Amino acid sequence: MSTEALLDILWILLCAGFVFLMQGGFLCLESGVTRSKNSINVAFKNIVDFGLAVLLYWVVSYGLMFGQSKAGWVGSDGFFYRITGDEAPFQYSVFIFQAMFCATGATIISGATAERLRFYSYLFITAVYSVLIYPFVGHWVWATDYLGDPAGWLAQKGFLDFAGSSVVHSTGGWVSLALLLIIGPRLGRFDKDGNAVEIPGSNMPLAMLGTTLLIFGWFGFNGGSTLSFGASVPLILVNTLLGAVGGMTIVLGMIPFSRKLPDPGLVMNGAIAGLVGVTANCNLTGPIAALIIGAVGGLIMMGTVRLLEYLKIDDAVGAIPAHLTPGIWGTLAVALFADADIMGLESIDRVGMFETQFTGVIVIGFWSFALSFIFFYIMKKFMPLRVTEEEEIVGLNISEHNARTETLFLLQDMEMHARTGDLSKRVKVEPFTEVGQIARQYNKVIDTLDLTMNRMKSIFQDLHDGIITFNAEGSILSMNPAAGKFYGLEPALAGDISAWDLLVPESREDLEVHQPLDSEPFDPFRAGVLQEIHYFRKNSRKDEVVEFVASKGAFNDEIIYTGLIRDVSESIQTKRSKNRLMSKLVGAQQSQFYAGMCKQSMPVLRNLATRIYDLATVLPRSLPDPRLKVLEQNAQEILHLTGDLQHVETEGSLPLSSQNLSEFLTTYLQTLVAETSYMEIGEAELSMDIEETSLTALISPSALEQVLETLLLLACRESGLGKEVVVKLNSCYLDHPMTGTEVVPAGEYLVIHILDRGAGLPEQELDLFFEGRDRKYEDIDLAMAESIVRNMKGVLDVDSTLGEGTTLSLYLPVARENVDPGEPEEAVATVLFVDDHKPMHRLVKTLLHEGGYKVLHAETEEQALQCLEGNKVDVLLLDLILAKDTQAREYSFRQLHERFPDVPVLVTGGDVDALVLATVIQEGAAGFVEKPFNPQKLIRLIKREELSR
Amino acid sequence: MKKIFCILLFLTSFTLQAAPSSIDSLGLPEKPETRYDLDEVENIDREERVWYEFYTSYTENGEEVKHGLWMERERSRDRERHDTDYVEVRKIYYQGEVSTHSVVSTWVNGVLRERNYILSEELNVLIKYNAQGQEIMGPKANARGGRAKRERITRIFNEVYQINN
Repeated sequence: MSTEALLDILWILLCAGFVFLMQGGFLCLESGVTRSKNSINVAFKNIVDFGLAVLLYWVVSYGLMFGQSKAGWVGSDGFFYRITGDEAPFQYSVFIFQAMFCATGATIISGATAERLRFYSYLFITAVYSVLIYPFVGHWVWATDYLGDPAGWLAQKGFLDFAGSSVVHSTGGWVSLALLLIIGPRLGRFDKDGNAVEIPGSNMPLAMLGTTLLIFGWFGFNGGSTLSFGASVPLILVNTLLGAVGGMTIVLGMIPFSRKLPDPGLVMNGAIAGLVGVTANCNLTGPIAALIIGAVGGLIMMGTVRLLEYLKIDDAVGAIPAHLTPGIWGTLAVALFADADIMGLESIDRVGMFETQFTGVIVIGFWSFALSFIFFYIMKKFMPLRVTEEEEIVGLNISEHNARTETLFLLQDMEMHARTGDLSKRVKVEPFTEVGQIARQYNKVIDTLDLTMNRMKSIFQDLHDGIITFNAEGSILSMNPAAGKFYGLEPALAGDISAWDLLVPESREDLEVHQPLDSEPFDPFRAGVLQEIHYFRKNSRKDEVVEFVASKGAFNDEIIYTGLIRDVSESIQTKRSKNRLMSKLVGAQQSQFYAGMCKQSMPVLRNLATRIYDLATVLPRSLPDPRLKVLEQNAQEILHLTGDLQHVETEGSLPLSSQNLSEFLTTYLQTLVAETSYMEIGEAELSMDIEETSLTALISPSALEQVLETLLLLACRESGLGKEVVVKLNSCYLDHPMTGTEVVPAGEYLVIHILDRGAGLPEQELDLFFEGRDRKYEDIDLAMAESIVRNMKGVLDVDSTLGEGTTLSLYLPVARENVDPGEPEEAVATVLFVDDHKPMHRLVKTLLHEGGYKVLHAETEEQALQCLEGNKVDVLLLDLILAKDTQAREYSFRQLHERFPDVPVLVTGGDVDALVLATVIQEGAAGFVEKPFNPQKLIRLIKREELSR
Repeated sequence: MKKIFCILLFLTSFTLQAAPSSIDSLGLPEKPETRYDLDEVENIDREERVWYEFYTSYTENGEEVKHGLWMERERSRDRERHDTDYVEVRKIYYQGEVSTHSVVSTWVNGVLRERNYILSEELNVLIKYNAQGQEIMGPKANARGGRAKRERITRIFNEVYQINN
């Protein structure tokens, strides 16, 4: 074998190696510009298509492509390629080189259809391409007869494609296009409006390495296509290089005009497009032409990218812009740029040549596109070409190969976070890897998010207002502790009930909804509208009102409602008090007006009443008429009344006198029943429950009679004719402000209760009860009654239960200025009572006096100590509310108990903190007596301690 | 059915496995057996139309037996330009037997313009050159791989026929 022949073989094998390297270049490029979830699939396809394509090429395709031609259409021998003889080394070298070309063409398809094509479908497509499409086109253009003359019908017409712009690249592009039209774009490639959405590549440096390998490999692709090592090779390599440079630089140069940042993917494809452009003609043109052809190839590539986006064709790696259209351009450029000198011709018939080239482009395009489209379309009927939507979302690495990467593990951990919402766990960090750095940063983000969530959770948990979330079906999704506390539910169990059952329950015994009749029906889904819900709790008629406002939102396509529940009972109470105050101010102005009127009319009225009275007392002697008696009584009442008014005018208050209320009330009620002018009172079944007491109250009898008559009339009317009305009198001690109406001083009170059996009143009406003339009973001026009672230092209160009746209570302070029980004749023991409230001293003294105890009292710790030092004290009764703050209370006890440990200490109080109480009991307190005092219990405890000494 | 189809495909394929386009099957020129008793005969007569003849031979049984390269040159124009415008025919003798293949070269104005490598009456490789002596490739001659194949044929011819210009 000659040296030249050996050199040829060496060159061809070397170039075959270069072309094989392009397979690696495509692998890096395609897996780099696709997402990491598909990278293994893309790379694997690049390896596998090489194997399959080469196998089929050896079995059948080489024979079809380069076998003895049948009419220029297809080869007919050379299957299972095997050769012997002197030419074997050269022919085998050519086979290797051609086999690499076949594999390269198949790889173009894998890039275009990446990230969605089924693996086995791709293998089938590779087989179709390698057997039915590529070898036929290759035969038409590259097949020769025994003497090297063109054997393919296209080549015989003069069609030129030196290294395969059309045969390899356009063919691969046409098949890719047909396939893309059938399988469609990747999920998310185009938005709802049809705009292209960029899908970022996973590893651009890898893609750039791939492009570099492709450029390097292209030297073999074009340089080896001479199939001999001759003088033409250097020019071919120069043209190849300039084609790549032209394509790359033109894209770079266009970037400033596109007003975008340099896109690495586009620039890489520019270089490839330039290479594809010069592939057909690099043996026929000069360097300048090669540069121009490469540059135009780059521009065509950019235009094709836009066109594909416009047509909504998703080419994952830009294979069609880089291979199909630049391939067409390169083939046509043969006619435009072929150099007559290089071809050794006098001149070139460029028009005729262009026609031939154009014909070749059309025929190759039609064959490749139409055949593959029909074939794949039919194939789709029998086997799915594309992966399912779920598989595409998961990624083809997993769905097609069950391949896992550290990225996948990271994604799975992140998915776990998203699914469970448990931010306490952290994702695993693989050190010294890029994914590890992402994981570390992600963990930092989770740390911050966790902290923020905890703060939010803390606010959510500690908020006084209730918050609930519920879905469109009304099922409660979450509830904060405040809401749970208000409704008596565990927040964790909130998911078992609906918003309706929670907010407006129908079957709960402990919580009853009573909406005002004129209010709109409650609807938890009425977003943005403030709605009130009124509740009664079990055994309480206190109106509890919450304001509820819902807001509507969406999370993960699910409608979510958030409801804010605010307990406004207190604020409504305050509002009502304010209204009452305003009403009283108005009432005061009215009173002032009446007072002025009275002042002017009173002398006249009093003079008139005196004369009537005189007349009524004188006339009976001569004119006995029972009506005169009534006249006399009325005149007397007028005189009393005007007398009271005169007193009010001069003294500023009603004339008060100390009266035994039990006697007064008994007498008054008996008289009233007998002489009332009101039918309701006369017909009512009045029953009395009057405590026998010696306690007195400072009252204006005539004014109190007016008040009682007013209240009784009201009660009788509420009960109805002939129904029972109960009048009770009892005494009590109030040591904390009264709730319901207004604050009153602590102390002893005599209370007159008038109970009816009427329908009762709703809570909201009770607070307004005394604010003016009752609309139902316009002749009853409750405001006036309340004013009179207040003049007697008393207070009126009302309580009612719907369906059970109403209780009117008249509190009158006990008059004790002149009542001092004194000391018992023979004291059984001495009790030191320490309390800063003087009226309590009198009360305790009175209570214990009956038990035979001597009572000493002190208002401060210092006084108590002095008293203990100077007297023999048997029992110490200590008020724990002596001091204002908790520690001071404990200190008071401790100070006294430590100094006089032998004296038993009974602590008292009305609203004692449980912790303080527990502390003092633990430290030695003998017991606790709750205020208001139960006299029997108080005496029993004192007796016990006194006896135990 | 599938198995039968596969078997038939394999059998058919193996029967068709002959090397496509192998120039070995063409019967390319082979070098004559090397002998050391060859005499070179060269006749030049500028007056004759066939003005140059060359061959190598040996003597066997007293008879001249041609073996190796044989060539003659025939002028195509006038005598003055006999060595610039002529047609050269080369053949190979194998122990007195003339080859079926030959090489015919045509010079015009001292420039080789055409060389026809003839394997048989039907098979020949014609290479044309322009006035500057450059090969005229033309579209067909430039087809991928075809040129290489022709070059390999001509290279063998050139080696056997001792053509070095």
